Amino acid sequence: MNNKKGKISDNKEKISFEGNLKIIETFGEKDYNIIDKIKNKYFETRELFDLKLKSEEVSKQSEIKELISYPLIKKNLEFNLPHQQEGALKILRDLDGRALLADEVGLGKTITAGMVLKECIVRGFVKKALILTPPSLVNQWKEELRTKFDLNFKEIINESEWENTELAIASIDRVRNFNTKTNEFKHKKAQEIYWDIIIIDEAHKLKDKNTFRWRFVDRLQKKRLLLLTATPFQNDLIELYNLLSLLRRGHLGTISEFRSNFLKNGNERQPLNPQELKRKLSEVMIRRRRDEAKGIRYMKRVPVIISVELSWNELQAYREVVDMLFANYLDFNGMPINTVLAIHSILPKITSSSRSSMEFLENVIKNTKYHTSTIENAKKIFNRFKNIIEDSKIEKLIELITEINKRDKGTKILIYTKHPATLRYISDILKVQKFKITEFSGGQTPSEKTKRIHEFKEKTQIMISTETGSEGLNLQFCSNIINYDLPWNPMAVEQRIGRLDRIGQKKDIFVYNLATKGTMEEHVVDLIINKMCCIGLIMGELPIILFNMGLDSSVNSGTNKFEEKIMNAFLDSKNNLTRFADEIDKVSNEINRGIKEYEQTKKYTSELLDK
Amino acid sequence: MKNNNIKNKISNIDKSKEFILEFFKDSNITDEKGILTISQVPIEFVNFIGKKPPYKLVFDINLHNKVKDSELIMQGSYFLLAIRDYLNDKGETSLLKINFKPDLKKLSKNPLLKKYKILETKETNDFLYEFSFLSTFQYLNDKKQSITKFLIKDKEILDIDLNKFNIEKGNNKDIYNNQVLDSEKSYETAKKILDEKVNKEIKTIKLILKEKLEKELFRVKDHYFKQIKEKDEEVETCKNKIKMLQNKLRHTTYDRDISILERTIRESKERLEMLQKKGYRERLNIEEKFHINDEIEKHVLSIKNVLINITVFYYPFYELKVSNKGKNSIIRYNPVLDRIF
Repeated sequence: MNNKKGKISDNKEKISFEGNLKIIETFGEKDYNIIDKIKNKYFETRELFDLKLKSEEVSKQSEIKELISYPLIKKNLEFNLPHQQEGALKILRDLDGRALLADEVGLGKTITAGMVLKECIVRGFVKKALILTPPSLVNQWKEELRTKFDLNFKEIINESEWENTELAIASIDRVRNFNTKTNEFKHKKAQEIYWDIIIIDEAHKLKDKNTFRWRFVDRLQKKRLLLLTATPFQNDLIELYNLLSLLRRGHLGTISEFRSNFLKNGNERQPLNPQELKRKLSEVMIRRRRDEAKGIRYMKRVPVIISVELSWNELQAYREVVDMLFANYLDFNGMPINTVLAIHSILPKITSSSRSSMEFLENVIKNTKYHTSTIENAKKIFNRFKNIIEDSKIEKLIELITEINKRDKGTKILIYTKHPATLRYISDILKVQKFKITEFSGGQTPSEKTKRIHEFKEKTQIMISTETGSEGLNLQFCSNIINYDLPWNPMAVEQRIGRLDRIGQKKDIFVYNLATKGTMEEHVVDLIINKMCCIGLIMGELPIILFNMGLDSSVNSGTNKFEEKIMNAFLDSKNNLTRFADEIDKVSNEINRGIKEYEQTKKYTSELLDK
Repeated sequence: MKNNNIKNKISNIDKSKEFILEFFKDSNITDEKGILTISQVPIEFVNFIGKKPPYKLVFDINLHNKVKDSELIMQGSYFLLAIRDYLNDKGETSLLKINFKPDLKKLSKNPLLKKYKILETKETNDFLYEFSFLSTFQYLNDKKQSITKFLIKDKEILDIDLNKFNIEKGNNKDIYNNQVLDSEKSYETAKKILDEKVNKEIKTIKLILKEKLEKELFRVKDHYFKQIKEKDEEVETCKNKIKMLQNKLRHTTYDRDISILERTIRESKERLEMLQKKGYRERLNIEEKFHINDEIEKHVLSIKNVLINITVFYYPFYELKVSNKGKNSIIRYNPVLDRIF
């Protein structure tokens, strides 16, 4: 077919203005192909054209009355929650796609936002979309969009990646970086793009208009903007004003007008004129409470810490390995290996089981990258303890499973471990005990994973899993989780529990945790489980608290700030458990303050928006 | 009103069902309990849609919720959109024959030919082009579509009803090898006329959009007008305060008061300098421009006109050797347009 390139350029878009109204008119780029077909006497049947006309007629989209994309995603959603569809429709139909979605935590704001996004894409309104989330939620968003909405978003790391990316997702902490030397945002390219829709999760972090974060978002060019937060203000109503300024400049007047119209002297949290403020908010905001939403039941999390008493040999092996890490962990040139990294990668491993400790030592012995004195030390410890036959932790695990079975015979149990080697080890031991086991780890194909989940649901009682590969799994048919070892990142623990704590869970969830006595593990487990993950928060609240406290962003070692805190506490304690316990107490107090602050914020938000 | 809505819904279902039945007419279709099950679907379509048959098509959301793996068919639904996309590059050209033989014996009685004596008649082919355009108007979260057809002959838009003729499926062989089908000039004409027509069609849309946009622009402009005014007032207040304090200072003799006044004046001057140094006007003007532009872009009216089909109509065309008052000449007669040239 002759393709008249010159002619195609004749059909370039024509831009005109009528007053302020911008009109863009285009003719089809491929129109000349049809002219060429005629020239070449290439004809199809008229019936085909008539059918095509009819197809245009029946596929014509009318105004937004229902979500035409819903049947597409319905199969991927576990539950049909009417408030999510209603919210998406309202955002599109009544609020022109610029809205503050302030539903309470646990109502699925991500799903509602995803529905808006999908509908816009199916209707052809959106081609370029940007999602900004806290660092710890980037992967979760990506996964949900992929599995539930069939949308593949690309995570933007470097600024060069903005070009040619239609569906972009980025950590807001990454993109808001400002270069004071050039006086520009590092990711200014994002501001040069005209986005059809931007979604910002945990938008309450945009409460201060003097931050780079706020300024970065304000400079983004966008047709539609969705701000998601359950708590649109924390300390005073000016924060709410700043948030709405991003959505609709001047919606609440100038700051002076807002102060005189809505702020009570001496009380920044209670408005002067609540009804009027609520009316103004309703023009740009959607807010639903959990007790209004149909079809959701929230189950309790019951934490159980199982103390594991190590034998003398096991405890000795653990102590000697830790001592080695502190005193004699040297590289080939005799230089100390980065302790933070070492602690992060090795310590959880050696607290996991003495078998893991021996594996670690074997690795040091075989590896030439270590200094001879380190290798010699490792050999000594290994030779002394390689024949330990007792394993108190695994024995405790068997005891625990027996106990659970006594309480609820045959009930499903999910065991988590961080390490694939430990997974296989536990599996081998439990199989000997005649338990029916499903193993689940990274590296399995999607169909293999589905098969394993089906196997666990229908045939086996126990599934042993690593974190890798288990993201996004729905295991609400199981209500017992055993953390054989625990990640030091509470977000990862939330992810583990989140496999069970989902809409559709019918029982209270038992969260069992094995913690070896006399090691730092018992303190970490107590902090993460008893003081963070199982204190009655709704799924999704802990990440907000950590985000608010700035503890969810990554640091150079690849860990997040919370993990770093624990590691530093351990390093500062110099392997003295009493000192470590004191340090952990300090972290615990800090977290407690964050939780209290969050609870206060929820209270103020509810007072303003719900009463 | 409610009844009308229900009627519309039912008629839309009927239309969609009728279309589905026509589209899958060569496939195997069963219709049971409101579920159309379609199997033996052409592989090209299966590959396009990425889903293996049988397709279970339902026309009711409640049924859709009950029937596993069913596809909901409703106005604008995904399955219908997928069929539309499948047909996108199909049916772009067609050839039709206007089949009629004018009674040449009666031709001499035609008022146009009355003054001529027809000596010889030669029959050949001539062509008309029908251009069909799909126009899509998109603005905010709304989308409207319309289809326009133009019949064109030699850059002229024709207003004739072809239904009065016998139209048949055309045959490529009927077109002589030396006949060139050049529809490009007619296409350019069609584009111009479509432009005019579309502009008439979007008048209401434009009015609604303009009203909405003006309201939003007023909000932005008013906001920045007030902001600048507030800042100006702040500057003015600051200046007045300095003047007042300086005046007071001139009439004060107590050392302690002098030092307090001097300090307050210094602070007020610093505040004034800070306000002016920051260039609040320029900054606010830039911000205002940004938000005005944002609103303009948000309210853009986008019109996309796409040619979806050219149909060539061919019909008999006559070259007549005629004589008038002893002079021989050749004239051409177009019986469809009933014109001589």
